[in-house]
Amino acid sequence: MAVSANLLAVPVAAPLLTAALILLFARWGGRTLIRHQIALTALALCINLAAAALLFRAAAGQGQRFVLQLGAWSAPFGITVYGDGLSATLLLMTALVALAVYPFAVATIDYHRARMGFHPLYLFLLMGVNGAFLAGDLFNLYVFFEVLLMASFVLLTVGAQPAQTNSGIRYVVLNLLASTVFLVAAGIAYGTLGTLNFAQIAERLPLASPAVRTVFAGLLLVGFGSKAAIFPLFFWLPASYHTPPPAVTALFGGLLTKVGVYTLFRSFTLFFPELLQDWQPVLLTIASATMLVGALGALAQPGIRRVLSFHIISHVGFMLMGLAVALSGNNLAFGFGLGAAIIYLCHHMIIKTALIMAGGAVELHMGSDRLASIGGLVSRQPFLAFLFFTAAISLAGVPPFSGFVSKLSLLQITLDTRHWVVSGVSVFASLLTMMNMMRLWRESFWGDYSRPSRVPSRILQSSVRQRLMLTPVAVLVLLSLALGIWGEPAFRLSMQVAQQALDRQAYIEAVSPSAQTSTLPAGLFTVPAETVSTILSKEN
Amino acid sequence: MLAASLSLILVSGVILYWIKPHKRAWAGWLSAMPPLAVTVWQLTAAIPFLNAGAGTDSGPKAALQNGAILVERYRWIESLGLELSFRLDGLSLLFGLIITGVGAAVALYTHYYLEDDERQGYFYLSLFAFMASMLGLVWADNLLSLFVFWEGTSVTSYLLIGYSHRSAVARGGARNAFIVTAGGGLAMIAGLILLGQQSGAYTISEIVARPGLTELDLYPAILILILLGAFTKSAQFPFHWWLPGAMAAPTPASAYLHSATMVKAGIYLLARLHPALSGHPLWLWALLIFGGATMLVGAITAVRHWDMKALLAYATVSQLGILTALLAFRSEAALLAVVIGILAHALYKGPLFLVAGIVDHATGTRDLRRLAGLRHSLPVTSTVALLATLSMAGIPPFFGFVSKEALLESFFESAEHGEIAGWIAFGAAALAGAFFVTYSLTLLWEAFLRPGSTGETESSTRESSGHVAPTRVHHAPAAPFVAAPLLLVAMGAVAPFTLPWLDAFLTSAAASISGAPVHKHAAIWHGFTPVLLTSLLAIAAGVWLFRIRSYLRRTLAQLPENLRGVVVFQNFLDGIYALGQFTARFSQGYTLATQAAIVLLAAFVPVAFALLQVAPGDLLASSNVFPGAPETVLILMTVVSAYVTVRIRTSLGAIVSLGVVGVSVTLFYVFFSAPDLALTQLLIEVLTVVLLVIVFTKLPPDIRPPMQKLKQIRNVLVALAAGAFGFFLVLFNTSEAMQAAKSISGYFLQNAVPEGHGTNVVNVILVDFRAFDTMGEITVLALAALGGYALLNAPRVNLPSWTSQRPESVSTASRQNPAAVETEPSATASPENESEK
Repeated sequence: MAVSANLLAVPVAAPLLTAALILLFARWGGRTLIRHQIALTALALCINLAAAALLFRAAAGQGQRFVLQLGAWSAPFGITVYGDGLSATLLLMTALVALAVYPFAVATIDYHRARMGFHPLYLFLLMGVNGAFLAGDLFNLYVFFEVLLMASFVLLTVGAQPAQTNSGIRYVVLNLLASTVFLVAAGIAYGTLGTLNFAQIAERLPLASPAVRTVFAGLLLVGFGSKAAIFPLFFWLPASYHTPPPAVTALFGGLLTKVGVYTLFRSFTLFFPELLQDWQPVLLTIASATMLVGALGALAQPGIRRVLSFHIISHVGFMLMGLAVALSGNNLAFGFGLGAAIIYLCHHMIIKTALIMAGGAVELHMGSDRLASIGGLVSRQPFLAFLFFTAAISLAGVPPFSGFVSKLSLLQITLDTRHWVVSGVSVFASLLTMMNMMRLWRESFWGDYSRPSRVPSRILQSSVRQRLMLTPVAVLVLLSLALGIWGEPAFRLSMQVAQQALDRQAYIEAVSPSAQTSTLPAGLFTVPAETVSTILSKEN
Repeated sequence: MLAASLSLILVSGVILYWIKPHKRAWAGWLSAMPPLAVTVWQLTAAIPFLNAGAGTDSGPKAALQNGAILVERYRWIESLGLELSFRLDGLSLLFGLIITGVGAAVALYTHYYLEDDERQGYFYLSLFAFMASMLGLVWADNLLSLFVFWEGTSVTSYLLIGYSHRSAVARGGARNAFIVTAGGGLAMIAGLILLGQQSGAYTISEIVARPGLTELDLYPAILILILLGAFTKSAQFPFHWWLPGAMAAPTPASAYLHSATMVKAGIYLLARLHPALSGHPLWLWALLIFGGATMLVGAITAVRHWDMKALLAYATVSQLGILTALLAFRSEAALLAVVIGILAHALYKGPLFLVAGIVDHATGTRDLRRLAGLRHSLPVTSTVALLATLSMAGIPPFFGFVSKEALLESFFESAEHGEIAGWIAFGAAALAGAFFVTYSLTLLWEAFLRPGSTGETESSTRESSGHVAPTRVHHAPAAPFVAAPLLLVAMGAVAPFTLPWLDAFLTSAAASISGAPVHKHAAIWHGFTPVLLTSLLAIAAGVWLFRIRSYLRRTLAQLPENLRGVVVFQNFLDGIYALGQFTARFSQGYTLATQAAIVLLAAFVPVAFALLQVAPGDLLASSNVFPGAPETVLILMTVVSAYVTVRIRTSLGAIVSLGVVGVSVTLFYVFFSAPDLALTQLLIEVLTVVLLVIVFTKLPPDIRPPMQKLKQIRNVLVALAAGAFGFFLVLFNTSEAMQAAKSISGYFLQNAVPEGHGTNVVNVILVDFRAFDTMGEITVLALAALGGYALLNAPRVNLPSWTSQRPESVSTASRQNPAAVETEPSATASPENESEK
């Protein structure tokens, strides 16, 4: 089946339209209405997954690039929506995570939060994330950052518990600041390069003065790095992730920082790949600090979710390390580092989400996730224990799970390029990860059974809800196992995706912004008729 | 077949879990079947090969298969060099047989040891998963797949050690063992990758056949990393202490993992890579020093312990040290001694652990102070203990004696060649041998032989109560329970007399280590040599030490606590946790203002660097850099009102002056002919002021406390940086020298009317050219409305199930210990949310 570029619209349109439809009728009805909302949301999530899977097959599997010029305004004047292997991989992972967390959310979200629009918010967040992965225009990317920031902020605070609102402020202020930095970078791009289109920026940036390149790349690094939670710009993450319901934490943990990571991958490979060499020491230093701080800080956290969310930072460091060595390599293939980082990214999205959900289930059973006051769940909940353990060791990089493939490949490339310090740091961070995971396991599953809350949760009295909670965790753990067992095709795909992403000339040609601007006459300018017809034919 | 065997073991584990073995009497026998089947299969596969190779050292079949009995390869992740390849040769066979043979005995034993414990199935599952990992480890012919199984043994052993998870000792032991071995494993994988990358292959048999690896410039790094893995796994000094700590495991696990199999994984790895990595002085001295230290530390410490399992654990440590020291050398005698040592150790130490389990089970204690005269109450078990202990002590004609002779002889041989290393090893081994005798006799005498009476003057030390009654047995062991160790020890007892038959098997294993055929043969009797004399002297010394053992125990007990590995390691962990606390404070302890300042300063860094790259003239290369009179007035207005906003002491005043700032900025838009922007901005400013006033009238009147001087200075600096940030960026954007290409904005002006059919360009851009952005922004507005609605409808009660996250709980968090475990350090505070005041 040939895939049309119009499919690029689905990951944004499906959640948006469904959410809008739900909001239209949000004022009427009670629990029945919520049920309809759930059905609609689930439908949208499935459609999104289908579209993402189709795109992934065509873009990552067959190496196609999809370009959609919105409103048939040709690039660079209109907004370009662009999908290649990297975008499609992220879209697919996002779709999987969103669909996997949803049953958990349905089972655990209370009525009040549902009434306050939890379900449409879930879709809006998905729309924002998807839109960011598809953006081919700097300002459009900013818009989707805003969508996802606002959606995540409201999801974070919906329910308005004091801790939530308190952390929400920190979250939104720091993130807005990062967005502003990014917006300034977009302004610089428009002011000095005269364009916002990704492909055209990539084309024109080499012509700009080195100072412009430094400012532009540096601001993007700060802006995107904040979103990705790199050192020292990660403060918003540990301040906020543990306060909303676990379903929201799981969704955030799976998706949010990954947008930042994706944009870092995209901008460094497309706009200024030469900086991967020139700035390599800086990037590796940041990556090392991020890996260490994330793993060390997690050791001191008192609760399951705090440990898990703080630990995200450490993983981001690993991905950044992969990016930093993307263009290096003595004996390994071109783009090996980026391929390793991409498979690490997929692994991380799958297993982190699974772990946070499993941790949420523990929290639900115990009435608290404070490690000091819980324990001994292993005999009471053997299946949950099994899932948690497998997810934890996968995250720790134990074979044959996905964590092993990704950590092994990253270590291979850093050793191959003889970056001893960062290799050592990553190995040490892996050890700290193991310590963290074992600590969670030991404190919550081993020891004497103790649960601080004597009130049994209503959610646990329904076996349907129990199953809704644990099935997605099991599916994600299986996925992680599959990614490890079929590591060869998975790694090959991610190498293909990496090499496609590193081929910036092909990106520029696919969007071909200069076809129009080069013919721009001094006077009145019109689009040549055949260009319009080719765009139209591309859309149909 | 190799892969099928692994699957058989794995699947059997799952089946044993499902059938609930604690309810089935026959489960013990059933569980012994799969390992037994694999043992038999290995033997049938190997015997023709060994027969062929035995006569001529390099029989036709051996030559044909390059020393391998069987090779199997499965593709896994070729891109990373990871291949699931198995190769059965002499060394793998030796280990494989020990793993499945001892495994069968242990599986049978487990059923009776755990009796009706309902978690028996879980134990079997972990045990069989471990067995499969261990088999895979010794069969693997690929560095990375070896690591895969290596990790498998670490994880499964973690579960096995922590089986009695209610006990803090078990949890602590499991944690320490895991951190040490997994940490070593991580170092090792780095070494293995380097080895693979440097030698150009990850297949072990290829690497081993490759000459000159010791001359690589990275050889020291590779060696040290791999040794870290091997030493941690095989409990070498200074990592040896985790092994006694792991004795909290149920006895079958201790017997199996911590004497017969897993702790020898490191030895196996060293033996496996021996042809490739040995021969360098670094190899020799590293193995000799650490192996020698381990054998002495283990042997001496073993004497001190009252707990039978602890004693055996240190004895094992000592034996592992001997094996490591042997591997330092390249002589055939040394390698043969390694092989004999491994086999002999498995055949006496395994049964001894099992005996300790039976004693524990029958009497409820393993404490030598409380045990006595078991030979009357547990006759068969005592016989097993006697045979095994004498072997451990190295008394002729037991297998242990053969092993000790071989070891001393190989060291002596090196010494005779004038190697100083040989002398050191010889001396250390003789000394260790004396202690072997001492603790063997101690164990035998105190638990089994000594009559239980009040007249036990000799052993009545300070610690013992002075009165040791014959231990009562309240739980007679079932026959199969004792059968397991009996079988093993019987094999050990017979072995010395079947050496001619065993020879082919032993030499082929030694040949796999050396990488070339071995012509040396094992023998029980070497004639009257200096080695024999030494051996006899060591026995005599051991007996003397046995007689003064209470003095030894007292002396050893006086060693300072903080020399102990566990304590040092705990301090190390405390350090890491303290570092974690520090990191958490750094990440969560600051106020929002500080965190925002860090982001702002980070954003200023690239601008500062860009300024270094640009000539100042370039930035000012614009026609309208300098403001005219109206702009100057506006600038002054903005600056003054901004200053007032910061300095004024009342909220209302601050709001008003903030409004003035906003309006001044709006006026800029007017001057620069952007009326639509000006209108929007004005609206926003007015709304902001109105909203702020509403909010602030709801709040209690505040008198802001004066800010600290230091904070003031910091804020001024951050503000200046932010101002500079904005200023220079505007210069960048307006400077003509910085323009790389023509802006596309001309297109919009030209095409708004003909293509967009609108005369207001901004509107056409918003609703046509870039309508997609507008759609996104509308969504943001809708979301903001939704968020406001949700916040205004905040529930008066706490919502269910996630209520433990209220701020109160944070303050409790700071009082309690977040790390909060028996073994973890006391952490002081949860730094979260303590700011904002």
